[in-house]
Amino acid sequence: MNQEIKRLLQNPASFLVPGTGDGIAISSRIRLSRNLSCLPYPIAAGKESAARVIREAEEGCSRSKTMGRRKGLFLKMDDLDELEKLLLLERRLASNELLKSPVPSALAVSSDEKVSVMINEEDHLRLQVLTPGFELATCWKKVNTLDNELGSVMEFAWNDELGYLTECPTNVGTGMRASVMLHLPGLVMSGQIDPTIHGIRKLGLAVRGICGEGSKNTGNLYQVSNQITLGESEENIIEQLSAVIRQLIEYERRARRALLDRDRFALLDHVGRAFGLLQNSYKLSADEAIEALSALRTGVDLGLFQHLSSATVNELFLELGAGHLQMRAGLALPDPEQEVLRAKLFRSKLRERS
Amino acid sequence: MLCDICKKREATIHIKEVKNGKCISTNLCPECAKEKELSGGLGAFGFNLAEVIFNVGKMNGDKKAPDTPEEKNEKQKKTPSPTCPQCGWTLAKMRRSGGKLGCSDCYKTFEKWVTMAIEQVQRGAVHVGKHPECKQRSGAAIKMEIDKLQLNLAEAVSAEEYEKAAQIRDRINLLKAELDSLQSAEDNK
Repeated sequence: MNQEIKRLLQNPASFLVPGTGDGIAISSRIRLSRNLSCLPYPIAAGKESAARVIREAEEGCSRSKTMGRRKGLFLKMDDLDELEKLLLLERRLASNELLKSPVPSALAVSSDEKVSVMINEEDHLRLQVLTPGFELATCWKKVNTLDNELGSVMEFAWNDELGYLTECPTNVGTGMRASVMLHLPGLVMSGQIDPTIHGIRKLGLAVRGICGEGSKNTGNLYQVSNQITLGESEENIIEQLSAVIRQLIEYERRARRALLDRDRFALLDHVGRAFGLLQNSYKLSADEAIEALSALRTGVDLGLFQHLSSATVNELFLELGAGHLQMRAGLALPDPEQEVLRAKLFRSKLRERS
Repeated sequence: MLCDICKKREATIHIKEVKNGKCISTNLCPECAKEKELSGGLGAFGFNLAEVIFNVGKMNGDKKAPDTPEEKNEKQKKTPSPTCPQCGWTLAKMRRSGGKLGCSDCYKTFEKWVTMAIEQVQRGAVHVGKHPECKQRSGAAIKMEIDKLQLNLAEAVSAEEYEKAAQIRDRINLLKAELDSLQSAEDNK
């Protein structure tokens, strides 16, 4: 097992460190798409040119202060096994597309795990910053600095009219995608989520499940991001997205209050049953655990548990993943055995707190 | 009228959007509309980019909207589909990959399709955000761009694309300011 990756397991994922907000906005992320000029994009690249991109990116990251110079991780995807890849995916450092890239790909991660660069994903470089809570301004500041640092040692594909050039015209211009992950059980339970999503999409924003494009919405988690990348400045895009997020948080607060006012016992019952399920199961699938954990998180947010903190919920949210479970066990396990292990994890974590 | 996506079922949902001063209409059957909305891909209605460029573009060229003179010429000439001289990317590959490009030169090679894609999915045609720090451009290069943009501006105004024209004007003003500061820096030397 790669010792550097094992080191990641010792810390909570950067985007789940508790302490900010009221639990509705879980995390914020901004990524910038950048390509090296004169080289074909990964989709059209041969091994030779893909390897050159990796070399240049490694050199650039080792000089970047934001990436922690040489203290960070630099991982080549070909060197990793399936479990290690899954771990990176669950920690939201790597995307599915990076793991499945047809050309050699790599990942640079800063020592605090907040900043990472995916190399040969859809674009040559995808610079991303992840923070807990609703912190798009912090993300932008950091990713912008990283962009300047890397841009001073490599030449990015650029066109005076279209801005930063990207493999897909949906990213051209700023190359920026800003997103916030929201936990919206109140809107889901009160049946307002579909019209709300519809409304957000009409504003030109995208709503997705937690695992990005095409993923389903498990655990009442939704990712809201900008679609437009050309014709608006980065600051404007972030401001417009932020305005919508602020409103969504307010809607969710109101929905939760209304649920408590209207039928307090129904909500308590929902949370209590989920707690019972997680505390007493002997087999737990990931989907079932995520759904129940969503109810638990709602309970914690509403102050229904004195002995349970959002830190524990966040820890469980990360640890229930198949990658984390198997990495901790130290070996690959079939699904049924993972379910047993997952149930054991929840029993021990929740019993020691009851 | 048939659905623009499946081309089989009757279109009952008609969407009209005004983008960059152009009216774009899309006609869908309930099944495709639902699928597109659920998949939540691109644009407000969740289209796949390739479908947007190739199907809607074709439809607009077919009979919905009158052809522009350029489009008519294109059709009459029946030019073979272009291949990128730099990376060998083709229109077929662009279509198969959902509208993706092979390299930065593809933006020039497939300009017509890229422009169409950008019109559909973006808010403007000109980048107004961050510039690379290392791009210290010469005064001549800036002047050249201003000249080019002024031509684009005149075109946009005559085509009554005022939104686009305003963006180009803003960009020209920015460039003029950049040129001024560059010249005053040189004068101080």
